[in-house]
Amino acid sequence: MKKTIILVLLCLFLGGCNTNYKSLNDLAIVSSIIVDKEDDNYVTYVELYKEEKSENKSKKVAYFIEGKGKNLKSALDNASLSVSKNLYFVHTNAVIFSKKVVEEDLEYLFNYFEKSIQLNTNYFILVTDDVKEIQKTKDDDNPILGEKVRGIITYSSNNGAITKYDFLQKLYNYVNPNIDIILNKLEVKDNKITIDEAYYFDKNKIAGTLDQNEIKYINLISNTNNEIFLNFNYNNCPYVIKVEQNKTKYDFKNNKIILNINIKANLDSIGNNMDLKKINTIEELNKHSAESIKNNIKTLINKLKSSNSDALGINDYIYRRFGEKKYNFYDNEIDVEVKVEITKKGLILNTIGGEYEKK
Amino acid sequence: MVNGMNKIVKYINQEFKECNDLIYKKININLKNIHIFYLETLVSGDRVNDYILKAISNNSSILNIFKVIPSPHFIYIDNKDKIEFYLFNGYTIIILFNKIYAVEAKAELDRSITESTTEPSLYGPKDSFVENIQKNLGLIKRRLKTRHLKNNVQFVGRETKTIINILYIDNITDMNLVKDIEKKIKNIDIDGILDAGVLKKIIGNNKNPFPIIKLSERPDLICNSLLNGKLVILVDNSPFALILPSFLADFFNPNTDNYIKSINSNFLRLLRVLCFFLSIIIPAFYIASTNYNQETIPLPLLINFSTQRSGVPFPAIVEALIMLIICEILKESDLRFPNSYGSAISILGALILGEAAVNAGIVSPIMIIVVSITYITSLIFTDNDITGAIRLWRFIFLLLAAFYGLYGICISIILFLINIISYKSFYYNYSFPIKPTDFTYIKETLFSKNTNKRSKYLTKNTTRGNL
Repeated sequence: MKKTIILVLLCLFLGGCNTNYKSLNDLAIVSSIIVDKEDDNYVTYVELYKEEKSENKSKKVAYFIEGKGKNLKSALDNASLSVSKNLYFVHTNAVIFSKKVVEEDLEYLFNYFEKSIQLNTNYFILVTDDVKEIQKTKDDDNPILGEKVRGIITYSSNNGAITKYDFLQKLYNYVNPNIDIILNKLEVKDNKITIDEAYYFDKNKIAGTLDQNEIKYINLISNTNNEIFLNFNYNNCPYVIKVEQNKTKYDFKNNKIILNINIKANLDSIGNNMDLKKINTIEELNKHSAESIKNNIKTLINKLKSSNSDALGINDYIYRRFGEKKYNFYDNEIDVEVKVEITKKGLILNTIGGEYEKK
Repeated sequence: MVNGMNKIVKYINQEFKECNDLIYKKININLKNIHIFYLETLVSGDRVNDYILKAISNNSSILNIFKVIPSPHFIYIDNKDKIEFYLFNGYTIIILFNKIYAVEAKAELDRSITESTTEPSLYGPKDSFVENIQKNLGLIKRRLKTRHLKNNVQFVGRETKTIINILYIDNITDMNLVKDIEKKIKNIDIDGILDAGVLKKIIGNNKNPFPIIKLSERPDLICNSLLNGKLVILVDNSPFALILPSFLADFFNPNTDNYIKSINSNFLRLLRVLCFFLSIIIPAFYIASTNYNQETIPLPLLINFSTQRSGVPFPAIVEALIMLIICEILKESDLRFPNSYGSAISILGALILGEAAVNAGIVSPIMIIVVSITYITSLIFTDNDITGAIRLWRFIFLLLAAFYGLYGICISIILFLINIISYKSFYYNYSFPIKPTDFTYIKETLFSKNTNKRSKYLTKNTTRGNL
């Protein structure tokens, strides 16, 4: 028993485990951080949770504190001077950079947040053009900015129109010389906070913006989203397919990079003037979807190539496969082959059966 | 001869001078003096009259007293020093022709067999032990009708001379254990053993809070233990029997689970194991996660905790200690007070620990929940020693968590595991059947499953039958 007690005491006193006592009463929980730059000074707006009591009810609200400094650390430290509690960053939902600070100091920002032990790694990084507007807007849906952003990315990204990556994954892409990052763009539309577009980068510079449709194809190629809804129009009849399963394979032949995409999808919605009982209709939809996807991906690749941005990470794949840059996203021609198979025609139509199933 | 007889009478009168319940009768039949002694507090006067005095007075010839008195417990005493023992065991001493005889005429001082209060069962047998060792032995032998069931009798206590029965099934139980326990009991030199609990303290390990001997008042559990190769000790004047060796797993689940379908009781059994650990770890985890490792709490919950704690002036550890100590005091006073006061204490406790404490800003509502869960989970265990051990470990976990957070809890878990794994129940591992692993015993204790085998760790005779 003496040995056990000595062992335990050694673990306790010589363990070197840093344990910081932080009473719950003394914590100011941070929901989001906005980083901007004004006259060579960093400006941080830290969103803190607060309890608002009215009669017998208490409500969770948030408010911003502001701090300025020559660097990010001092800006955050200065912001903390206006609260009587410890800033607690572990549960931060989002870090939002202004476009200006991203254009000037992206490397510094990633460096700072990578090294900050105060923050967790599962927050989201976004870019906004108008910091003041974002800060001012109190969305009816959720007035707490950090929570609103997390909610949009976590739930709304189910349609595949938003990049879902959190800070750690973004950091992995950022430090990888063969991938260019994509950051969601946060904006205010009709007094509501939304994410409609994303910035794609050429190394540390913003190369351009991607719309929702383009982000869907990026997610499709990189297999990062389980459910992607793709909208098409066939003979003036709109239809939507829901990608259930997709596999992207790369082939390298005759100095060409060939993207093989195999998709199994459900028919999510369809216009009235299409007869799904006919075997040809489904086959035509398969072909039309494949052709449309192929064209859209080619357009996207050309856009990325012209901006000198490998946001798809094709160079990274080549490097991992061959160990050297035998092929290059920018130099080699990229061919796209897409196969779409609509396996389900929706709940009601499926029960009718029809020629397609009997084949 | 007469002189000799008078010497014995004189000896008894001298030795029991101040014992006012000693009855002495001198009867003269056919010019023969018969001296009769008994303690009226221990002996039934009716039995003395009906079976001894009437028999003697109705027989003209008392030369062969064995034939005159029809008692199965008629003993010839060859040594006058033994008179005291027989007198105090409810015998009537008869002195005739310089010879001493003892005839049993015990008064019924014990209560009748009642339902178990500490281990109640919905479907199992309802009988439980009483203070009479003979009745207790009978309840066991009624169930185990085998000549292999042995009961080794010993008398312990200089003044009490308490009857102790060591029970075992000789073709199942490990005889080394039997010899070891017999030796231990033989070596006890104490003025008195008044209850099984006293014997438990003497032969058990008192350094570790976890009990290695299980107390039970259920004869069915005792028989099951005997069939598993364990040893049972019955102590006179105690309604509890001691089962040894007992392991930690034995204390989790009551034997009464055996009378319901195993598939239904297994969930409860796993729940009890969970409760054991929850009861130890919950306050510590709360302290660690709210004071050091807030990242382990989901954000909405953290905000709620923070809101609830906002008016409490004490650090969480002080709050936890206050609540736990108040609960211990309440529990203790509830146990000690007569039943009629019980509800008053419960109301007072609920008021103090509930809304009043929260409104006064002494504790936060979440702390009430934490302490309540802690106590509800610990109430599953009825054995006082196991709840005591849980309490001790709860405070160890709590203090280490208060200083080191989750790291402290990890250290506490390591300390707990070292303690349990290195602990011996006699010469068996206390962590059995986990270490050494024995699936037969795991099925029996941690799961309620009938097996056709006994644990080979406890006995060499591992076959129970063919199920």
